[in-house]
Amino acid sequence: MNNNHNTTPSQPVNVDNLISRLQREDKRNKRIMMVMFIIYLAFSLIYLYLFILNPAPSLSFTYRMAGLCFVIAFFIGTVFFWFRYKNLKKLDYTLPLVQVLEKTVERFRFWGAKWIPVLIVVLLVDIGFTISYYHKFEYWDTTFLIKILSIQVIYWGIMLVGGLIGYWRWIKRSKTIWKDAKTLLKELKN
Amino acid sequence: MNPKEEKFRKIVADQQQRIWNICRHYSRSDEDTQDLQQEVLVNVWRSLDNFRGDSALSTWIYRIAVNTSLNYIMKENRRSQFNLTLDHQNINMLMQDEEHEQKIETEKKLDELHEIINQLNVIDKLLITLSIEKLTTREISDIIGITEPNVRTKLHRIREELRQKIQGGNHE
Repeated sequence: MNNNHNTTPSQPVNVDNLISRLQREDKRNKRIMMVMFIIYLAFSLIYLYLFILNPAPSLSFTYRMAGLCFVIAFFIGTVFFWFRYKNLKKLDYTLPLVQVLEKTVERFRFWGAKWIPVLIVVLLVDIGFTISYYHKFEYWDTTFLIKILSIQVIYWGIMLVGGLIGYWRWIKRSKTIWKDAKTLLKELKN
Repeated sequence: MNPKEEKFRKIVADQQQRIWNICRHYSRSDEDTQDLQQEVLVNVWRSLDNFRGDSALSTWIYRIAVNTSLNYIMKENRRSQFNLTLDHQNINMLMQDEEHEQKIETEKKLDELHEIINQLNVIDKLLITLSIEKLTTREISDIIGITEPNVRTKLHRIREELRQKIQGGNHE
């Protein structure tokens, strides 16, 4: 890298321009947060009505149980992604370098305790999915266990593909940053 | 003009040179430096509400500049390309300490030393940039988050390493 460039700023910062851009961005972020909150609230109420409170007699107790699983999964998932979004926005550059690097390693790690809520969501959706689709296998002349296992194979197959896509995206986008942050942290602590 | 805007304008006016000094080491051209400087200022704006004055404003600015710059080279995958551009006065200053008042006199040796400095790891180079900005070990410790004795030890080790290399001439 050839960085033989000026030791003094070649152009003064256009503060007016920068401030108006930042203020616009602040307003936009507030609006996005508000819109996300309204969408979340609306969907929570719709799902609650459709899957649990719906008076339709065709909605049996078992289907209502499946609906409950989906609603809880939706609730946990939304809260999880809401916090992740807020934390990403709030990345604190005013902390000492060691702490920033530790947080970077944690943020860009592929798997960690932070993903436990997602695992709970996946398991709840699995229960809901199994209850909802069990009747499709009613006419299949086999044991209860085989029917359940078949649903699990389909479901976890889909999850595995999703996981592999996520892993591939992590390798492409985040692995280098994660490794670099780990190396820098090691160099600092040595 | 609201208080945040006023504070921000004052920071830009007072600290622009400091920010530039850090950013220029992490970028390839003046345009790159300007982009990075803008990114630092964006992060200053976003963090301004949280500045409580626990540390000096200059230390706070350095933290944001260092963190943003390192994040920038990690995102751009340029860690191995982070090279320092030091003038001879900077290099002489770096090599001085109380125990050894050994100055490197010839232009050739200074150029060699410059080359050796750029073979150091990113953290050592970062310590050098802060050291040539005339920051105290206390301030460097505040910015990086390691103890003062640790900063002193690291700087001493870097100087020794450079001294040995320049004396031994065992670089390529």
